[in-house]
Amino acid sequence: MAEPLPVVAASSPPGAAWTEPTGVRTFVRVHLVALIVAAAALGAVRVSLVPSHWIDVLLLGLLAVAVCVVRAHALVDADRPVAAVVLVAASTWTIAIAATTIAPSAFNVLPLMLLLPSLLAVPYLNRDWLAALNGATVVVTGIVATLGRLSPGVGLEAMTPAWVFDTLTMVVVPMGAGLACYLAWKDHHAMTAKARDLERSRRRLVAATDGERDRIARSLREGPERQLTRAFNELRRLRTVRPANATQLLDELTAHLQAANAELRQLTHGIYPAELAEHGIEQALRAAARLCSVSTTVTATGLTRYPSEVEATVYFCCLRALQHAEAREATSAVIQLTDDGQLVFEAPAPPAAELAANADGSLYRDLADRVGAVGGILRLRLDADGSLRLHGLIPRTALYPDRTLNTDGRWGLTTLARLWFFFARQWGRAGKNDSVEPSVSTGIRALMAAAAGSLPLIAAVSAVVPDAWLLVLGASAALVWLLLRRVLRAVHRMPAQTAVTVAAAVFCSYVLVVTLLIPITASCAPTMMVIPVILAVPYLPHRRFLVAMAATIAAVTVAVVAGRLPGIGLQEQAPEWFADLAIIELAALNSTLALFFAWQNRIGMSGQTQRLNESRRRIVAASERERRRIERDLHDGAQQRLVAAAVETRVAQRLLAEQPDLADEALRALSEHLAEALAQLRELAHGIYPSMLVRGGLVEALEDAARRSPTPATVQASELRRYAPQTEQSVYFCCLEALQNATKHAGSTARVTIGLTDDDGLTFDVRDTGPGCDPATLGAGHGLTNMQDRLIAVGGTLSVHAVPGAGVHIHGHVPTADQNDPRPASHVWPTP
Amino acid sequence: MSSGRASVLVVDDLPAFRRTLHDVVVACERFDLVGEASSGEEAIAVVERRPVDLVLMDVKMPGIGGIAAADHLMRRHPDVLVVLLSVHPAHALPTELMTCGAEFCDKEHFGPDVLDELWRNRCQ
Repeated sequence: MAEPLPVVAASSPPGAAWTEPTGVRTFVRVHLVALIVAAAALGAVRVSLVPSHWIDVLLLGLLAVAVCVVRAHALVDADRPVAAVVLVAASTWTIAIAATTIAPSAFNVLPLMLLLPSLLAVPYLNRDWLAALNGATVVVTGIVATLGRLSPGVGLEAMTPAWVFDTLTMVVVPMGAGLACYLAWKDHHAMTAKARDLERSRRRLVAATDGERDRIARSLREGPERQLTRAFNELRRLRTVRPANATQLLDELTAHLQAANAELRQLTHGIYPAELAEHGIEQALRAAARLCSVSTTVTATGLTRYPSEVEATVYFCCLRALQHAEAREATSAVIQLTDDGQLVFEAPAPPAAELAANADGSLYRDLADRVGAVGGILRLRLDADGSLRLHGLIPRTALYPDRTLNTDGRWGLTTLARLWFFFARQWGRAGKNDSVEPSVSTGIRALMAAAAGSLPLIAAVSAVVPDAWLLVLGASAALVWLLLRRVLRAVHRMPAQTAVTVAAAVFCSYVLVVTLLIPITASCAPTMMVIPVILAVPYLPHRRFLVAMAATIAAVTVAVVAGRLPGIGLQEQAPEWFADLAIIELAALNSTLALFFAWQNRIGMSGQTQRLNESRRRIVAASERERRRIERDLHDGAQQRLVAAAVETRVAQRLLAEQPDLADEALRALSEHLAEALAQLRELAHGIYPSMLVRGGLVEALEDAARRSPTPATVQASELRRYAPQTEQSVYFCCLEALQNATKHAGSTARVTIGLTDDDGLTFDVRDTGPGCDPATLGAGHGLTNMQDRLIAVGGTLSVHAVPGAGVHIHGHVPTADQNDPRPASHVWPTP
Repeated sequence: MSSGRASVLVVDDLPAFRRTLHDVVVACERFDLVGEASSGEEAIAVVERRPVDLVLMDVKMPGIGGIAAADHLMRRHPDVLVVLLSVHPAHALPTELMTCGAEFCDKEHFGPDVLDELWRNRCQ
């Protein structure tokens, strides 16, 4: 069931509820708590133990970060996610660098915190921005690690008792680990939920398009077609009577023709108003307001012309609102249109009581789907006086979809993004195909790379400081690599969540062993331990994720404690420069690996939502194109003939009065015009929605289409039952499109066979005997994409086999409708 | 001019409506149909070749269309009466329709009487 439209208060900024900010809210709260804890601890230290002004500086820095985090929250609400993320990142990084310069031991707390802005950004930034942010994170982590190892500091550590730093680390680091896990989880679920909503919406869009066709075809048949038939019969009578009576009959005929013409004009206007194509939204709405019985004011500021599907969507939204206002006999209506970079439109909404009766939200759901499909959002806005307004917003990116972001002069961003891709490529060969779905295998391979990478490092250490413990360490790295390889080999045989859980446990244990043996690596351990959870997020159910998160926090705490133990005493033996180098490198590599997994998750999900979004926009654009085509066909065809007939009646009247012997010629022309108008109307209504499809079903409708086709075509169908209307329509229009394609491209001697079979759903095959073509040239034009969009929306699949010299074969399958039709099973065609 | 006969050029891209306009002109006794054209460009060429008093022209046609052709004709031949016809109401048509100086008439209401009246107004 569709949810009702979101309601926002008038006081909230125009972009409110634009992005789903739940993740950001929780992040802000927990981040603030972490900042308060850190600040309180520092304050206590300042008051009771170390009366240094440097601590005041640190406290001020923490305060600044807190202000920035709160401000970022407001920015996300105001539809400026990029600004929000940049603010969080810049403030966090600046204070991190400052803190490490003042007190190098702060580095123990920071590596995870540095990751958080990038993790927070995943759902909000586009690919290039995210890559740049990831690159910057890696660079900043490197800087902080360098400072942590090399900066002399101001001597705060010497003044402070060791337990203070230890306690601080033990509180803040596990908190950061929990936050990182939570953000990864939220990111993933925000994006999955979005993809699911998009899929539902696409299905509804196709159903709405079919409903629209049905309505248009029906009103053509019931309106002008009927009037015309009547006029036609009158004309027959007219030609048999004496000229003396003819004048009166001609008057009646004129009246009928005028009625038919007015009806057709209204219908054409309803399908696609000429003002919309000619002058845009504002004029079209003014024309609609003139026709409306409610006194309507249309105000427009800053409007220009937009892509036609955007214009049609905004127009039909406002028109529906007007029609509703008319139906409930409202006294006045106001429509406001504003373009200040983004297009905002407001129209009257029904009173709250009426909306409450429509609890499933179906009243405006189709409009919301359409607005969503062109990249905007539609919702209800609560005004200060308690009344509701329909409020739509179409952002700049949707208004000018072809305008690409200008990256000239953003060399900094580009460099950072390149840097990130360089690192990412090292981890999972991500650069080779960065649209690849996030896969368990890629993740496990990256973990194996991390384990294998530590082997040369251990070898280097043992060259400098020979120690028997290093053999143990090397052996465990090798063991981890072997274990992970085993998991990788078995990955297809076991559930994904088991594979990632095992891999995560193996890797975490290894990190723990390393920290126990070499405590100096404890500053890097938390990030390493979070990595497997970020990898696992897309595969874990909620409960298991909570367990994994708790386990990670516990493991991080243990690692922090282990960092305070003596270990094997390597750091005392190894030269300082060596330890520095190893830690800095490790910190940078770890953050890359963590971000790499977040990146993988994001690319997979955003690829899916992008595909869904594109197909929704195409569906709306196709329906808009079809409306325009119908309008044009009506206008150039039936309407012209009807107008010609009306003019011809006046000619006949004049001739009957002045030159009666010439009148017969005019009457013959009149009759021809009427016959032609009627034929064209019938043909058009049939093309939009053949009544045969409703009455007789798919086979009859397709047999009829085959008879009308200029290319000889046959339909071969076994005993087919009736299917859900949406399935029948989709298959009908796909076959028709394929038939028309064959007529266009297969040549005059070709034959077409349409095969229909019922096997676990409905399967169709359209084959022609034409010369075939290069499959690469097939994708051009709208036809094939339309077919694909339609079929996918009803859960089906389409494949095309085109070989030069062997004709084109289009194969489609729609699974049994009962499982896939979103409407209740009782909603099938009424039996004739 | 008011007492003499007027020569008429009919311009429409749809042959069916050209024929109807032809019938209207023939039904009015004072007009002579001197030619038919299917586009604005063709209409201009005809008027350049021979004198025409009245042009009945559709607004929407392929090529330069009725409005641009009317504009051209009115400037080159100010004494020609150009009547633009359309099934769309005036407010659904380009705004230049009102400024090009041609008469506008709804196709649906067109007929011998309207043609007579337009010409009468012109002669006054």
